[in-house]
Amino acid sequence: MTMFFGRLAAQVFPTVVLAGGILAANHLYAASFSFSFRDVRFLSGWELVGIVGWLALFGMQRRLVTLSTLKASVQQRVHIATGWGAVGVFVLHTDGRLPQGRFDWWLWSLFVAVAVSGVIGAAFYTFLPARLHERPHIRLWQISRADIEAGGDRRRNNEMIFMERIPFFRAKLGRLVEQEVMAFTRDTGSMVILDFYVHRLAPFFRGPRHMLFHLFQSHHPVHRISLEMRPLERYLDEAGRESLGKIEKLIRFKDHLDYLHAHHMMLKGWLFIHVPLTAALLIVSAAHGILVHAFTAGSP
Amino acid sequence: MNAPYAPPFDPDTQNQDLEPVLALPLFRAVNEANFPPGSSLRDILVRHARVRHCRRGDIVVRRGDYGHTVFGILKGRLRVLVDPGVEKLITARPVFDHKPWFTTLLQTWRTPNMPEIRHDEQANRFGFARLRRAEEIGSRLYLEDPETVITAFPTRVLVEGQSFGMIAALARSARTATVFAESDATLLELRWQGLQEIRYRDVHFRKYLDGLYGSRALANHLLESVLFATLERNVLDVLTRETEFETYGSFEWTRTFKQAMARGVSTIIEYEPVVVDEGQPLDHLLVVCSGFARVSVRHGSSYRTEGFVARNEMIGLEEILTQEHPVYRHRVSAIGHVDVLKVPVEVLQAHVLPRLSADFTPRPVTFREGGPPLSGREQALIDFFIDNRFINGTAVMLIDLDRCTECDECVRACSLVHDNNPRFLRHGRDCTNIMVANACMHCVDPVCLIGCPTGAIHRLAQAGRVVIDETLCIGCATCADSCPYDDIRMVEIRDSDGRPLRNGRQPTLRATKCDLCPDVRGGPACQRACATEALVRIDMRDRYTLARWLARS
Repeated sequence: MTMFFGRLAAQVFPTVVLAGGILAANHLYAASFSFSFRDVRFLSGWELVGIVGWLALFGMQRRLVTLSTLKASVQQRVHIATGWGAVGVFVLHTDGRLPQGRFDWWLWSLFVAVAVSGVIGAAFYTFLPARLHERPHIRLWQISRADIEAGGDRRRNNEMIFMERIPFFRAKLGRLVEQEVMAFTRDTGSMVILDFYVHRLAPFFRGPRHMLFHLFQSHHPVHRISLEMRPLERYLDEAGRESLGKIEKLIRFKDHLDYLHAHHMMLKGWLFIHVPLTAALLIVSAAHGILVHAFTAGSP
Repeated sequence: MNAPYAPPFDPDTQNQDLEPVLALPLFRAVNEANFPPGSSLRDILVRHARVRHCRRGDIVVRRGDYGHTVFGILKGRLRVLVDPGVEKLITARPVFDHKPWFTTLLQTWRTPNMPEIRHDEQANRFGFARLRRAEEIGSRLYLEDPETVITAFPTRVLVEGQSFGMIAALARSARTATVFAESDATLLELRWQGLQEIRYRDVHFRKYLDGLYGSRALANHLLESVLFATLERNVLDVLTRETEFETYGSFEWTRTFKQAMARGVSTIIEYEPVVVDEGQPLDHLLVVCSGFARVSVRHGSSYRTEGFVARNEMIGLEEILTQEHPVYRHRVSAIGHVDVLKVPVEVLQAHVLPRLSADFTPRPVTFREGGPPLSGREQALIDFFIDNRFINGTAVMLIDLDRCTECDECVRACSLVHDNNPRFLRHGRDCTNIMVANACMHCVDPVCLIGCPTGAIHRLAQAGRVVIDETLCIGCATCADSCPYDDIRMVEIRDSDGRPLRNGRQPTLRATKCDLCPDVRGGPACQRACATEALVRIDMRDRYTLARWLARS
């Protein structure tokens, strides 16, 4: 809990300071702006475009980390804080009311979606990395051992499973299960395990499964497969039960791969929502600005 | 003693080559009767020495190279460059400076598609020195015109029978001067293991070496320690006379370490040479001169690690200050290899303790001296860092797995500033939530420097970081094989058009490793690029910073 509150404080404090600064500057400038009887929403609108535009450059800023005087971690904090500042300016710009026209709904929804996806992303970055290591580690060498029964290459014992390599390991596990099933069927002529494999296991090993369950830390799906395997035991001899045990072990490996996949997908996938939405927001904002200026009679 | 099973220094060294060697003044006083059969002086020399032929102008050692051998001149004349300032002109080491902002900006867009592109090598980078690449003599630096150097710069002559390089070889430190051949010369080169073995067997040789070490280096070592730093010259002379120099463990610990790792790290402690045992009467204060020693106490049927001591740290001072009849409170064992200075307690009590200020408190040698017991995680991490010898690192890449999002920005940033090929792998050994990535740790005791034929891999004097001078690297992979952590990688290099460079039919290789981004403003790119502050480069000797960083998790 100390770690949690420490990290929270480290993130919240600069956010409050920077976002508060943005809002205070907005307030002061808006006060002087309103003396000229102009609509302050023009000011906050352009502020929003500027802030969102700057936030959109975050990816490029990170590319220039060797050039910039700011470390990526500081840049990220500034990004988050400025994002909250943008939310404040947005609330001022909209007077805290819901939009009325269809176009405004689009714009409003895009902004909210970008903000919410950003908050979710920040939360993912805070909580998900630790989850990747919460479960007992199942490492590459264990899968290798299952394959060659010899412990694998010792120098690579501690190699972790990266997201990019998950499909490779999944395919490898699929092959191992298939070999096990075929070997048993060939040796005994029994179709018990083969039937179960065709109807239940083959789809399980074909791709990532049970994403949502994994995100909620549920073992339910793999537990259910195990339960479904128990009734098969009565039709199997000792060798068959041993073969079933091996398959069950491989199922647990595959389940762990799915767990990693689900979390990696969340850690990387949210950006595929956040970034395109930001681009869309900028385009719609530009259209909104043109329309507002085109259809505003008189000043400004 | 060091392992007698080390492979021969030079398989071509034969018994008949040794007659002129044994005539060297260095070995004249050695009594061959002190050596047992099977490990005679000649056997030792065959195993650990080689005869090296130098051409006129060849640079034998460069200032700053990592020393592990001692030289005796069998034939010819050598010259020592006296003025260190001049050496910069002659054997200039690469100088790193921050890249201009605009260059850094351009680099982002001008990264070549292919990795490891090399543009024209800087031919005149070495001032007067050139690189001679020849199969029959091995590649080495040489001076094209030694006469000019001798005329223009102050030098000292070394003639037949003289020896040099003793201190660097004994203390495993950098060479303090550059030596080159004035004429064609024949040299005996004896490696550290042989030196130690002869020292161990022959009391005269031992006295000779210790006297040499005492007169040239011991006082400086003592002065580096906080306890002796303020002593007057006459007291220091007494200490220098009475202090003993001892070596524990094997210089070639890399091989034994790799074997031990294959057996499993938990057993490593069993194989470490013991310096002093827990409960043993304390007759000497131990000052670590180089290497590391583990501090442990008996726990159950084995030993529990309590801490470690590194260069200039002491064992036994607290016991001497607090106990009437002091005994060692801990077992101290060599982690791979450790050189210690043993200062007799009587000398200490007579000359040093009366001069200590009242507020002097000895630095604790354990992680939690007198405090509550370590938590399971803390103990696991201490064992992990020490068993795996990560304490050797001055810039260890630690990754907090609870924070790492595996976004690979660190890898990308490294690749951006290093020829489109990252200089580390983002995986490695881990314990609890801490992973030590496969990145050069810039070790205190950099064994990768040993044996580099051209001195391409070296330690920068000003920053302590270990770097590879690519224009000197001949791709022999000696450093990569020596690195106990597998942090040096051999890569195939390409020309400006992206075509692989070839040396005959073989691809041209270069050793690459993390250089801590000397030309990047603000420090290593990997650390700067980590948005979640999961990655840090840390000096393991700085226990306070390490403990604080670990405690944040």
